[in-house]
Amino acid sequence: MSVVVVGSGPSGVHFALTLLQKGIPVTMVDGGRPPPEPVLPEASWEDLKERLDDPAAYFLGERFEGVQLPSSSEEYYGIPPHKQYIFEPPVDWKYAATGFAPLFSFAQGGLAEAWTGGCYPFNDGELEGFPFSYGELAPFYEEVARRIGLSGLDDDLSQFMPFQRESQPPVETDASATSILAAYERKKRHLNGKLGFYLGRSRIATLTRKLGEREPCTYLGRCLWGCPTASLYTPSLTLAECKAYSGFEYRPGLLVTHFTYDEDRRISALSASPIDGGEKVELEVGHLVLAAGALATTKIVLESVYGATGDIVRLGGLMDNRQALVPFSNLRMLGRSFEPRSYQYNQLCLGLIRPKAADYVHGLATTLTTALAHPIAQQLPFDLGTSMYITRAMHATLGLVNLNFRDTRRDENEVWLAPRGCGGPSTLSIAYEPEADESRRIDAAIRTLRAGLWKLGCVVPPGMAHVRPMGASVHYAGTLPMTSRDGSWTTRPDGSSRDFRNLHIADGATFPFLPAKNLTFTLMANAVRIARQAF
Amino acid sequence: MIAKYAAAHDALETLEPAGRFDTILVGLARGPALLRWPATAFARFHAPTTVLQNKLVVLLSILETVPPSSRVLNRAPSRHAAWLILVLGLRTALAVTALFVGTVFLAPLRWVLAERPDAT
Repeated sequence: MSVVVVGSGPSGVHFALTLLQKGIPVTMVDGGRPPPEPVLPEASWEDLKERLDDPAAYFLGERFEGVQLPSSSEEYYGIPPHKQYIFEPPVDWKYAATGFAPLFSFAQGGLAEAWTGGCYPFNDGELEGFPFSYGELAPFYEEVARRIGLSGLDDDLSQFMPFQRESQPPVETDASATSILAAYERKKRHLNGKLGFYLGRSRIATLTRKLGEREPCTYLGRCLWGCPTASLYTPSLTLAECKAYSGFEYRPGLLVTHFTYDEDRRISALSASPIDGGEKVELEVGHLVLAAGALATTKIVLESVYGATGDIVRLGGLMDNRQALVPFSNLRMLGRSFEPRSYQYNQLCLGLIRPKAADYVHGLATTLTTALAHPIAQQLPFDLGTSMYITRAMHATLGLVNLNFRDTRRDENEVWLAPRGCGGPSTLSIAYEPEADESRRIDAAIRTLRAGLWKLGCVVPPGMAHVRPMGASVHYAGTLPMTSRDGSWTTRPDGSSRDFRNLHIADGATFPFLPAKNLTFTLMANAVRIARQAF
Repeated sequence: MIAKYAAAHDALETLEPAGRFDTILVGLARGPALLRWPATAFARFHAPTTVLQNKLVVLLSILETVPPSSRVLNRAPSRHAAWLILVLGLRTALAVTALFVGTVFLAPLRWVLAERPDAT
């Protein structure tokens, strides 16, 4: 059997590795832009500034593209210049979106090359709309935890996300996170009972013990700038594992545009264009697995149907996690210098119980000590000199909670194709509208968070919470949902398409519900499940 | 440092003044503290996307990434919390005063220059 997998993101690589372990050969077609070599891999964040010939070029970019100018109206992601390759689009990639600001990746490893490593399994309540339970998915969560290396602790948060037995101990906390955790232990009865506020250690794909050839985190403080030691997992590492199998063929540099199929709806070939332009290529397909990410996978399906029939299909149900960024100041840290040699992503995680259980809100607390300071300073309502003085004085106290909100499939949130004109590429069109009660839910959660942080000795400055545009979390899902019921444009519980005979979909497009959690861990576990059960 | 700041001006179009008010604001910011402070406070509060604010942010971004200034900016100004709070209070009061002065003098000037079609 010849299995062609499209995409090298978390779903694609874990699907491919599972098949290769079963002895099934795999061809992976991928945008595949490669990452640059890590710079001075043994150097800490502070050392980089001292040892690089041109540190401004490293941190800000050769063309100063890493500077966040006040006149810029775009959402600030803090993506460093040398990670911009992850988002560089192919020449033929077009999209138009209303109410949605999507990000796409055509890099080796996909968007998860820029992730923060959060691994939060969905629980039984959150999997209620899925055609399987947590018990059925649990072995695959454990398998992925073994593969990627997961660190965390079985604590108060385990009631919201089951703990993986394979986990390594959590990363070390810095002084700020340690003081917040200590305050939580003293006040948790009030926080749990009155506010429904729970705090614990984050669950992250970062090693605290050696795993194979990968070394544990050495706290260089470079997480935001790209972990140079591979202790923070990215899908490129699993791709490298796949490449060690003789049955694996990797075809990078290609943007899959569509597949062709016969009257029996059996797919026979895949068309792809070189990402930087050039002649189209065709690949024969025995069995196709789409794992290009929910939106890219959807575009391939829509383009294929349009090419074969001229029909423009509109797929509803697009989902993404709305996120709100809430900065806070831990006043116990006032007068201290910040600790750059610490874990820079999420050391702490929190859960907020809401009146409706399904509205659970998940938060990730970051200390952000080695992020650039100028994007923060320019937001304070004073002249920049005063703002920078305040930023310096408060730097060690600063933190940021990223609140995630659940989303549901709604028909009006559609993805469709605007036909190509004069033989050019088609445009992926996206329309999204939030639920009517969304802003009320967000305001209520921020109020609870503010009250909880106050109890922990932290202050949320007024007016600085920021609700990110829909699309910013990059947790896209829902356009081709998994269901036990028959219906067109759905997938079966084993990930097989109901519309094409030899097609499996292994990414977030198949999720029928999006809990308030990073979906990447579940994407990987689900891809392993499908590969095990369907092949 | 100066070469890097000049290179930023070559790379970023948004650092060139777009009108007379921009030019005046940048000129004031090059002057002594009594002129600089009201101009930068005005820019932040009333014209946050103006050329002066862009220039200041670019300068700050270079200062925070290049030693020796990066070492200074990465350190807390004082280890004593009480002293820090006192200085923060004073600086904030001065910043508010600078904003008041800047608003009184520069808001009418911007209005007058904006009235003239060739001025902005």
